Order: sequence, then C-alpha cells, then structure tokens
Amino acid sequence: MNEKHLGKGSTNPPLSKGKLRLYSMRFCPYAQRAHLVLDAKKIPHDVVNIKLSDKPDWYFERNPLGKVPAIEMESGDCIYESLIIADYLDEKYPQRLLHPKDPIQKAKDRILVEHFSKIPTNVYKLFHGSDIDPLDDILTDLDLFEKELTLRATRFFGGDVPGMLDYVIWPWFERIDAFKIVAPEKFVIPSERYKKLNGKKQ
Amino acid sequence: MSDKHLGKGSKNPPLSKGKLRLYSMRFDPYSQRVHLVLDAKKIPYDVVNVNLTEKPEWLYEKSPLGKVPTLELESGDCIYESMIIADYLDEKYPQRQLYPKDPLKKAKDKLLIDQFNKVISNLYRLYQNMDREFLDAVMKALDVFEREIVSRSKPFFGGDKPGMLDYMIWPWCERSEMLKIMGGDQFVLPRERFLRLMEWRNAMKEEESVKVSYLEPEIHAKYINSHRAGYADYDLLLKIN
Repeated sequence: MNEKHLGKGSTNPPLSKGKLRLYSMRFCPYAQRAHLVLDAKKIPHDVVNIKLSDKPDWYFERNPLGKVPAIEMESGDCIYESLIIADYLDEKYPQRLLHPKDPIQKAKDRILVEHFSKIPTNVYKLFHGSDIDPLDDILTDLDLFEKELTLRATRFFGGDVPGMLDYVIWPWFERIDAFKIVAPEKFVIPSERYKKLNGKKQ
Repeated sequence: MSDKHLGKGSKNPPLSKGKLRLYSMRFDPYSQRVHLVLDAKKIPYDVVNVNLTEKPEWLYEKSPLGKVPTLELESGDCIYESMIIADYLDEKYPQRQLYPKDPLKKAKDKLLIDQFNKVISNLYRLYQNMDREFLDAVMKALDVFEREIVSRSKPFFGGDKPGMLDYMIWPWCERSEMLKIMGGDQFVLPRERFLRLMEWRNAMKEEESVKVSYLEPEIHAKYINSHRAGYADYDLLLKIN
C-alpha cells in the first residue's frame, strides 16, 4: 500500500485474481476509510495509489469523478464514495459485521457520521487558514462525540471492538497528532475535555 | 397529511398507538421522500406538519436542528435526514424491499441517488433565477438518468415496480412541470432528449404509493412563488378545500 502513486501516462496494473482492487492515495483520509473496512473484515485486496495532482486517463473509466477511493471488482464493476464503499463491503462480506445489527442503532450511528462530516472541512480550514477560526466549531462538534462515547460506556463506539462508526471517523483522529506538529499554536485540544475520546485513541 | 402547520407556541399532538410519527412540511421534497417510502411499504404512521419559518419549540427535542423530515418511533427515539430515515425503514420493515437485494446493484443505485444531487442543486439555482443557463445545467445532470432508464429496459429504475431510486428522485421530478408555469414554454424539458424519463414520470403518477402525496404543478408553483415572495404559504391547501 506504500507503492508509487501512478500519474498521467502510466499503465493500470492488471487486476489480481481473487482480490478486489482499491484505488487509493496513501495520505487521503477518505481512502483510509476503505482500507480500514477491508482490513477489519480481512477481505483480500490489492492497492493502486493514484497521483491526484496528475491523474491517469484510465482512472476516469473507474471513477468518472476521478476521486479516491474507488473499488474495482473482478467483474470490472466499479463503485466509489467512501461511505457507499463501506456499506457495500459490510453487506457483501458478512464476516465481522461492522454496522450495528439493530436498525435504529445503525440509523443513529449514521446520524453521528453526518454530524462528523463538518469536522474534516473545519480541520482543513485550520490547516490551510481561513477568515473564521474554525477551532471552536471543531471543539463543539467533538463535544458531541465525547458525550456519546461516555453514554455508551464502552471502549469503542461499536462496543468492545471498533465498529463502522469508529472506522469512519478514525482517519481524522489519527491526523490530530500531525496537526500539533505542523501548527502547534493553532491546534490545542484541551485533553480534560476529551477524556474518553483520548482513551479511545490509545 | 394536509393539516395545519404547527408553529411557535403550539402543542405537539400525542403519538398514536401503533403508528410512527412523521414530522413533515407539505411542500418539502425531502419530507416527501419519506412519505413515499412509508406509503409504498404501507407502514402505519401519522403526520404532524411543521411551520418552518416559526418552528415550534418542541421540534428541537426531536431533531436538534429542527429539521424535517424527522421520524419519531413509539419508543421516543427520533431519526432525521431523509436518506437515513428511508434506509432505516427499508431495513426495519421487510415487506416490499425497495433497495435491490444484490449489494452491488444497491451500491450503484445509491451512487445514482448521490448523483441526483446535481439535478437538485441546479433546480434550486433555476428557481431563484429562471435563466436558460440553469435549465441547461439541470438537463445535463438529468442525461445520465435518461441513459440509465433506457439501459434497464423496465418501466421503473427498480424494475416492474418503483424501488428506492425511483422514490428518492421522484419529488423533484413531480415538481418539474411547474417550471413551465413559472418561466414559460421555453422551460419545458425537450421530449426527444428525455423520452423514457417522461414515460417513467407518467408511470410514477399512476402508482398508488405516489398518488397519496402527489400535488399538481399549479399547486407546487403557487407554493414556490409564495416562498420567493418572502412569505411561505404552508397552509395554502387548507384555503383551497
């Protein structure tokens, strides 16, 4: 998965028998969601990294939007959008089901994912600068997750082991420590406010 | 379902036994998505319409941002976001499954539902500004749906009966005929470009599940115009009947 990112003029390596093909970018948090689900469910797959600043023409035949992640099956069918891929994998490969069994709990987890969707945009703004300081918004959004994890009184949102919600939000938490290195003055998350979430990170 | 829209200071009617409660707004296309799923699956429910300009205080206990549609279960649990509600209903109530059984077909239908957002956002631009440029953008976004229904060779995207994809895009297609009322004859979708989609639209209008929530283009135009004029006339149906 740490292989060279393919750009214009490259050739798409042939599919491997018995494996799904994941088109990815090593540092893309959305692509990481697909990796996490594939790895959690131990689904055989290979990875082709895409150079997003210089996309190969053949990639648009996989995803007309040219985005990662995308999954290609041995049939040649392709799907994209990280959450649609995650849902597909959970339905197609029943080993270690990641979504809660109970439809209402699953719906509530999806609502939390909706709430989370503002955080990536705000973290991006934090990193790249913007007119409005997004830190307060990020902290308010994180409050909701701290509250929820406290309520559930389990190590992970999914219980004793991570579930879909844990994996879908994880990529940004993994990057939080990186932001401290890149922009320490901008990014100070009070750790007492997020006791439970910090425990989960460990 | 055409009852008065409740606003500030109102009381939330008590839940009905054995029924889901849908908080809705009569002209909201996102709320209509949920009506369509409930009606297709014949799930018992009652409706409370909400005044979105003067939201009742109690709505925020159901949905933190006071949004419609919101679904309340007898347990008191509430869920919101039209797609999340639709998916929940299809999982919880197995009668007449709306999504395809095959996970790949289901994923592809979800991608199409996602792509339809391009039609929706361009339609909203068009409503604000009845300009040919925005109509062209709507039609460009709609082309993929014409291609798709042609390739499926069935009356509906879901096959012989409407499925989730049909219902999730229907509310905006129902409203498409009001463009002519709002902007004149140049705002009619060309038949040759959307032949099968027009047949599909007629087939959808014949469906019992669609008839429950269906409103004529004149009514939709009346509502949209009231909204554009600054005073959304939620209860306009009460004045007509």
